[in-house]
Amino acid sequence: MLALFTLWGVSLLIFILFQALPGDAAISLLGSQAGNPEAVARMRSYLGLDRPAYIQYFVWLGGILQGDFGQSARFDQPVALLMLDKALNSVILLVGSAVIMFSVGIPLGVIAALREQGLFDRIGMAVVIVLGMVPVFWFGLVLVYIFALLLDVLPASRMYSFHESNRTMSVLIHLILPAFTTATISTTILARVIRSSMLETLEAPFMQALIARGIPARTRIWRHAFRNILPITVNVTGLQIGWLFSGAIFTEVIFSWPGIGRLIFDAVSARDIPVALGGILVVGAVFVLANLTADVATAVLDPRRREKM
Amino acid sequence: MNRTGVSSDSAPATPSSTETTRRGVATQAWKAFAAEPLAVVGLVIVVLISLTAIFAPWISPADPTAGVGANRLLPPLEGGHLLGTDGQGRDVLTRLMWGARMSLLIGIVPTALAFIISVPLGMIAGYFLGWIGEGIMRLLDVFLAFPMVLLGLAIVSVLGDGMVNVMLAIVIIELPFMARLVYTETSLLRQKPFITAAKVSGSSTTQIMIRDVLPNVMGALIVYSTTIVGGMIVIGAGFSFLGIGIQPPTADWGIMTADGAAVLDTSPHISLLPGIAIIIVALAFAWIGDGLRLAVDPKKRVN
Repeated sequence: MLALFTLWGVSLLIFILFQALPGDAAISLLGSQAGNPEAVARMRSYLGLDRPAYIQYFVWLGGILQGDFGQSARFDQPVALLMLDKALNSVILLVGSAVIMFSVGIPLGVIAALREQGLFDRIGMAVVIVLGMVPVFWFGLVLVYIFALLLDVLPASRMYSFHESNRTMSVLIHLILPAFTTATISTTILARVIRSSMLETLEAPFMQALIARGIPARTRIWRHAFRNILPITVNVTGLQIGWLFSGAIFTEVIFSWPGIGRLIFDAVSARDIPVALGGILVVGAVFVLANLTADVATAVLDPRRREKM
Repeated sequence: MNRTGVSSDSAPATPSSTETTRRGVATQAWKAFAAEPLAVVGLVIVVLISLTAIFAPWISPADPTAGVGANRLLPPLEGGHLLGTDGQGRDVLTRLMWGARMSLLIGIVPTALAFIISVPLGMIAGYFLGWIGEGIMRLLDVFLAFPMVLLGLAIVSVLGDGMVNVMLAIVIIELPFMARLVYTETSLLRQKPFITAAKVSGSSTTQIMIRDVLPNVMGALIVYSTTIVGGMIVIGAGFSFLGIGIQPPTADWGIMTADGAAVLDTSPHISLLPGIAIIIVALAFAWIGDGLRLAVDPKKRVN
């Protein structure tokens, strides 16, 4: 319910931004005819600009609900079509980043918690804190410098190379650096949350009881303790998926990854406002939905929370 | 940036009647802060960088925007340039110094503005609750639900680039977080006995807000504001990096990083140094925030 309200608010916000734009869309579309007041009036009524703002809003919203995001100002193409193409590429990047986030963040957090104040914990957490502050755009360049320029082992831009026969393999190799760049900050957050909730769980009486019953450490940790921190892990993940999507904008620009972030950036630079706001609206919606999914999944995993809902 | 930095447990300190006790509290707070080595390191870093920023026109070795064509892309320590030169022959150290001005302004000015706006907004919403509170908070929640960078992008794409618009975007990014913090603190405070006591003794609502609620909300808000300055510097630099924030030839750490990207293979220092500067400043503000959190928490202040 709240998520729906938020989505609606996001759409309203975007629409108000549209309205706040200086200049008249009719005049800019007409080009050489812009001096003719009759042509301007006709174009305005064709575009619906002569109607009151709230009517325009509902027409616009109705269009979006049917997948019509308007027309790009730069290309003679509907915004939805432009986005569809790029969205898939963004999803590939997102999945890659999520895989890294899980496979690094979870073990890091758990092991750090098991060796609290040990060497691994201290060094690991210091690195996590510094990396958590790193500007994404800068970190991407550092990775390019090390792995593409110094070591020359990984490609620094684009999604695949044309001369390679195996397209899937090529994409995977090209995915490594962008995915690590995108995943870094979220991985540090996940590792910190897992570490602190793991520490809390390890102190719990039921863990002591398991030790007393002679349950081996591995079972204790992964079957009992980890299961307890699963809800919070899922919750944080949901939030981070949204952040990954918005952080990807820097990654896609640096690595020339043809995703939706790159599309938004190009549109903003070229002042192609319909594309920019359409893209921002879609990513905003993904963000809200990811949060909602996380809340629901947490409730499913955690019986205590289910009762509260 | 996560939303967990909100502490809601700061117990209301009894309003001190005499100047001596007030000074005593300040001393205790300072002691708690100074006991944290990282907090002190952070403070020293921020003071040093602020001084550098303020005195950049006098202490920087060269001109920040005009380069010498013959000195293009010098590596560090060459040709009398401690940190080398960039693609236009400009001294990197100089540009780093001048860039500190931009970063500190982008981090601090919007945060201060958001601070000033969020206090009355959050206090009114939290004190009256009801439809006023719901109305204000639901509206701000919409912004909260939006990814920060995208919200900024949307605002900048409509307003156009430039420093003032980036600052405005950052105020809008920060405001919901800060107002929510004030709201939560205030709504917890209003049930406390000392507020009831103030009401019974005939204080007006305005008096209660200013004399009783405000001082108790400030601590948590100051801590939070300090902590997010670093994050905002990173976001502001990100806008400059994308070319939609501060515009060249102004010396800015984000612009410098972008400038160096094209010559990363031959002159990595141009891109890498400003990023390191950003991380150091961001860490410093985070450390100060952590220290302040201990300093304003009366429970940690005993002894």
